[in-house]
Amino acid sequence: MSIGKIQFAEQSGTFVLKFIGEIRLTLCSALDDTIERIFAALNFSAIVIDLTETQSIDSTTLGLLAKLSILSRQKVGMLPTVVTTHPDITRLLQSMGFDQVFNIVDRPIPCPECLSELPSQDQSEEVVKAKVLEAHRILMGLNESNREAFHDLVSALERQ
Amino acid sequence: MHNSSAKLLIIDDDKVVRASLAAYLEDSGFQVLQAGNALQGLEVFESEEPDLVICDLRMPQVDGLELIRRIGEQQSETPVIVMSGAGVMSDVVEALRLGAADYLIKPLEDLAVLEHSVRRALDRARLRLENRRYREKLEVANRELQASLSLLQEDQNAGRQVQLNMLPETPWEVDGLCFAHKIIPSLYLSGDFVDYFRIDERRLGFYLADVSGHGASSAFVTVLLKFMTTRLLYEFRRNGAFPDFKPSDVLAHINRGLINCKLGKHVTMLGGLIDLAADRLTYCVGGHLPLPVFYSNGEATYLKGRGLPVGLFQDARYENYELQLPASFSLTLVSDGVLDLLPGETLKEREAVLPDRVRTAGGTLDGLRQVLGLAQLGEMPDDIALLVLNRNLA
Repeated sequence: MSIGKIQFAEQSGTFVLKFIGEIRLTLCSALDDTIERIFAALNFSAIVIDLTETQSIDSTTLGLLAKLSILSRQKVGMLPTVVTTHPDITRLLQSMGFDQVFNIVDRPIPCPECLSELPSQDQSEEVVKAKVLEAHRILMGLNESNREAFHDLVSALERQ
Repeated sequence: MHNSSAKLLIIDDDKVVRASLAAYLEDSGFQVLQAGNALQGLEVFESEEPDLVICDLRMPQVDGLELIRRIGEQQSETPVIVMSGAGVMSDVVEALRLGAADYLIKPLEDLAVLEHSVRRALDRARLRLENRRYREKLEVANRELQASLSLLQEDQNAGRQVQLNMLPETPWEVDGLCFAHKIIPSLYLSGDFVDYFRIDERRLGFYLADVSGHGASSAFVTVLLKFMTTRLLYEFRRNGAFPDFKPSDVLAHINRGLINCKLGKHVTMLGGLIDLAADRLTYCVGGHLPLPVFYSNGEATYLKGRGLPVGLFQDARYENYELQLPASFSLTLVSDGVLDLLPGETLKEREAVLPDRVRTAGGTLDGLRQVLGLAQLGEMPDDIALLVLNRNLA
């Protein structure tokens, strides 16, 4: 069984969680602690979940993502953005109805025209769209140029 | 290595040699006992229990070989170093065969060689002893683990019995319809669950649920599900008939119930209701994959539908979908564990295969069990549940 990993990075208030490989129950306590910490301490403006390198994701982790969605909406009036380019993962999210509770972006390149069907949120549609695009750009910037901006979630927690 | 305080016994009939060895070894920090012949040596050995014996091979009456033999008979692990001036190869071989730790040729030119041999033999003996202690510890730990495991298995089996008792009868014939199910847990206990029941004289209800996670904690949630649905049914009955009772009401009720329990578990499920008078199926989807497969006239297709998983979002709304039932049909609900049994690299490919399998199986549970090869399953990564209801299949 290959163990996946979760990494995170933060840039100008945008918080990025990157799921790599097979994400299972074993990583969930680290993820849960991190979610608590994000919302307790950090002054964030947006959350992006990068699932472009995810092979599989178990039901327990999906439950935690739901928690992330609920908390984000409560704190900043906006849903987290999920970036997925893997058809299986996209299908799974869709079957869970997660397109109602996340801003799902299923393209590698940010494009304003693609964001026609975002779920309704507390902020205006323009604001949500602008933030989703910005978050996606930040994610791409981090992925391309700045891999060291990502920290391994589990070992970062062990250092606390 | 802390061998210095070790207790040594030197057995040699040559007093001069004995004294010089003893002096040297005492200077090296050992505690040294002496004996002038083998019998006396054995007495000291038994009363003082030295850590190591150095003995001369050639002694009057009882010789060194016999001494090693007798020490060996006492099941002693005490190392014996043999010295001999004879240098006869057969003696060397015999001494080593009897378990001597080392063999030194007299006269000993350099006593440092003897000291080195003593220390090495003591180290080996200590390692052997440690090894044995570790092994004993491990064996005890293993026995304890085995006992705990048996206890856990008993618990799991008891839980499994409870779970089996909660499941409905299979097959169940009612008003021309036949319901049947099969559940295969990946562990002892399953996080997948099915149920079907009569609601009132004209309506039947059924659902298939897959609790997040695996094992005992998920199995507890299935008990909770059974409790919540049974209780809901009881409430409905007590308040008289509920003309507009819908599957979405049940999913919303379970959704609230699970969130209030704060178990950190959610459920994906398919729930349905059959109105026999109107021959109509109403169903509801709670974040479940794959969707129900409807089979009629030799055609099998997925029913449409979507909705959030149950037990995650406080304000989740569930939608009801309706379908007029033909005279002959079958409806197959499965948990996502079934997708692991289907060929294909991607989820999309595996999903596409399922209706075809239902068609090959002719819309029956037994057919599907054969087609999927459920009888020959090895270890599966996920629980598997199937619920099939059908009517008038040719």
